[in-house]
Amino acid sequence: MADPPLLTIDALHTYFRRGTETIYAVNGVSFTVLPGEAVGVVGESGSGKSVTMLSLLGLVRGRVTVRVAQAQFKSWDLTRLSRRQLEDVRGRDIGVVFQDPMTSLNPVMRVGDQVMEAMLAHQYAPPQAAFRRTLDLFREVGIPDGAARFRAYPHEFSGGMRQRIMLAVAIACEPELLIADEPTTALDVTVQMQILSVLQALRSRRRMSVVMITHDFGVATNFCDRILVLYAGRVVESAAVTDFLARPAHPYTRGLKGSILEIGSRGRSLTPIAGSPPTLTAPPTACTFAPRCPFAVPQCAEELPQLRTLSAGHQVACHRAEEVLDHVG
Amino acid sequence: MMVPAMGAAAAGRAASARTSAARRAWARYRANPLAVVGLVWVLVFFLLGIIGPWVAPHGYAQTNYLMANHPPTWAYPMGTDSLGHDMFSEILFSIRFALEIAIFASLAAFAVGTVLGLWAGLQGGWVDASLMRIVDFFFAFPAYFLDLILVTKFGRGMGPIIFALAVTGWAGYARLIRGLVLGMRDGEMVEAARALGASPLHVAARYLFPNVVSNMLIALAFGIPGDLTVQAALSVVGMGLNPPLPSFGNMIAAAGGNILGYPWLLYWPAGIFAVTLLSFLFVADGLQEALNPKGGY
Amino acid sequence: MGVFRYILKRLVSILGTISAVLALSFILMHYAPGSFFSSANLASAMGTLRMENAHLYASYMQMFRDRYGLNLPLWRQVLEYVWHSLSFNFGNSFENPSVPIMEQLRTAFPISAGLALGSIVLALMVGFPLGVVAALRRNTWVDSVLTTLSMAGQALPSFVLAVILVLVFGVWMPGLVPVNGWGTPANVVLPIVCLAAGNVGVVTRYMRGSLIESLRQDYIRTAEAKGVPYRSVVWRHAVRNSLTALVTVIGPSFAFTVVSTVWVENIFSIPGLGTLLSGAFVDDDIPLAITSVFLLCLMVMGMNLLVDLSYALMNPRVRLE
Repeated sequence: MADPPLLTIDALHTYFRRGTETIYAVNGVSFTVLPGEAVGVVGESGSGKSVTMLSLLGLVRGRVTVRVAQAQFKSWDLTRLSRRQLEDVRGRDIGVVFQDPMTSLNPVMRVGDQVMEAMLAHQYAPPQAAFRRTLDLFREVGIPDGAARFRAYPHEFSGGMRQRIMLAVAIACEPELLIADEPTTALDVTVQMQILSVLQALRSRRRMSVVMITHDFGVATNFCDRILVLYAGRVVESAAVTDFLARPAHPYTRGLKGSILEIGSRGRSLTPIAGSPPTLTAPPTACTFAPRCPFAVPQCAEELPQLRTLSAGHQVACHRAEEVLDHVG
Repeated sequence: MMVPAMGAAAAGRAASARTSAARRAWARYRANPLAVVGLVWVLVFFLLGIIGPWVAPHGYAQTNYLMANHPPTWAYPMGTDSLGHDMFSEILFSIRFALEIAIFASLAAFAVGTVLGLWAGLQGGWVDASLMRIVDFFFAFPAYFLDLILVTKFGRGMGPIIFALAVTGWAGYARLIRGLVLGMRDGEMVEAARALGASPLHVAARYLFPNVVSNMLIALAFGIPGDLTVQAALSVVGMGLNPPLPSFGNMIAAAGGNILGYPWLLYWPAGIFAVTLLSFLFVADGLQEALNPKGGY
Repeated sequence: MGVFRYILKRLVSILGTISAVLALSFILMHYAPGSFFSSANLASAMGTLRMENAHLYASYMQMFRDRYGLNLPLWRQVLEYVWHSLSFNFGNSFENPSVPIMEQLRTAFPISAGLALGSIVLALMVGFPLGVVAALRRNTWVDSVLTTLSMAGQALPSFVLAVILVLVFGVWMPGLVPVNGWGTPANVVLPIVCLAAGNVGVVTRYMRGSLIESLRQDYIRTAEAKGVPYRSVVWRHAVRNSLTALVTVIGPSFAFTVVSTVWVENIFSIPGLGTLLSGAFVDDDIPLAITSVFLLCLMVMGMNLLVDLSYALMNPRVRLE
């Protein structure tokens, strides 16, 4: 690609202090997002996928330490921004949609004001223009009768409608990057589809990059160009969707593929592999997936597999990727 | 049936689960220094209430007009009031009487409230509806005024004051326990236990009882200092415990009028009373956090 | 349900409660030992007058007999008494038979109501910022000090605080502010501080807990993700949400504040309803006593209605019912 990446993250580490323990949530994640690209970040809950994206923006709660070799967004080094400068980037250049639309909107503020607030905070538009633009946004995300609904409160909307409002908030300032953190998980199946198609339309109309964090493999493969699989705070596989579906090279990814048939089903559809990802209280020194892995050999318990390139655009972190690819199953 | 076969084992487990829950609660309680300090003083206060009448150097009605309004001396370590009462003895007896009133009033209110609350919660229907109307009535206006009227009618002795406090105090307990019963009756845990075939008695002992006990304990810890406050407050408007029976309210109210001349009459009664109420609040607050870590503020 | 129907319903319920309180008080007094409303008791209440001026005494007796219908059956007496009170026709007091009770209330009521309302306003003005500070600096020494102080404010009844203040400003630092009496603006200081202290504690603790809870909510993260400056996130989103329930905390406190007014007035010798009330109870002046109780209860219930209405106004999720 000729375009330089919009977002480049190199060796991101995020730790939490919980009591006397340190939780190693993200342990060296590197990836890029190209302009206009949709990247899916897939993993079970606890794999660090939300923390990866939100810690970059300073949106993670608690006593958290972020260490990163490089975090380049457009011309900004995210690590060097002051809190004020980061506030400027959030909402204006990077929009975020969260998981639960029932709790993510302020219950005592009119929804229209919540959309306008994003624009006013960044002096994106004067109040009059922001008001008109809010109505346009409502139309764009599919909220009928926007002028009347402007003055309504969140509790007067259904979950799907509230997620549309969240979308309007996130894209109000025309950000170049949208981070969607499990945007459909809390919704009913049919509503999930509607939200995804709204998201798809927004994305193609504006050439906006999207990072879709999800545990739903089906959502990721339908929506995204490229997919990152996270396990215990590390990228275990990164590939274009086609490669991904045809030649999954990590045993974990293979396990995940089983869930693709259950597209759209709610809940924990992504655990066809027995067991659950570990909570790390020390940095990983060996393959963290080995205890659940059918392909594991003694090497896996001793040596931390690094991300290596299998073919153009296809990377995997597994000592036994070749055997996995050869295995018919 | 599973339940009879594993009855003994389950009962044993339930008992040990309860003790370990109690131990955890105690650990949480101990972690709160204010609650511990408060508990120590509350225990001292109770101890003084028990032994006070034997320790007191003078009788509460014993006067010495020659020594009226005298500052502290060796014979009268906290001074004397305008009638020549020994303030030290007055305070010791006050602790005794205040505690007697507060404890009996709280227990009476507690008993009546528990019985009526249980009845309302378990029976439902018109019993519940009408009992709760009565409870609402008691919450609609300040109970203190009803206390005043009751004391005016029945007199200012120990018995009438206990009666008045109990009459206005039961509604809170009734409302609390009714809510607990309703909440537990339809709660998931109880439903699950019942579905597994546990007997109602087992359900009550295992789930209802511990929850109710901890909540009622908290309510009592708030209720006793409340009764201490109200009985003293009756004295402030001149309707408290009838002299010569000593009481914190009478001492504080009397000292308030004499303060410019004889301030030592105020130091001990007001100090002890204030420290006691604070201690009770710390204890109640600590209990709330220890027993009910999620609820309350 | 419309707001007006709601208010109407609440007014009817207030009327019912207050009538019950009046009837209950009347009946209790009626059966008191030596029955307050019997002519014999009236006679003893005005014993001296009977000696000094038999004619005046007889005319007062007639007035009370007519007033309370002492020859009627009890249920008629109760009904008449409740009706008279509800129409603010209180008659004359036993102790001061020449002056209508309404006259005495005219000066006393505004003093008490002013003290109570003023102390609530003061408590909000002080407790609100303290709570916000405690929440934003939670788990620091500032927070511990504020939390402990507000617990102390809640634990100490106003009359204890009042005598302590009298001690401090009357004995230790005399002359700074008056510790007694009424009439100058300086007289207001100590009483209103006593009355506010408890509510400062209530408001501080509530605001602290509620704000910490609000700051944990998902919509706070949304606001931060929008790029709203943190200060605005705190004030426009978190504080705004905490405020909606603040009025519900003040509601129950109001009853306690009104009762506290009675105590504080007595200690600072303020000629308000509370002093009137305690005098009436001590002197067995039953009409005046019950009337003061009636007005104080009315004050509490009216305030509670206002509180509920403003809660509904502030919180769009609440429907009045």
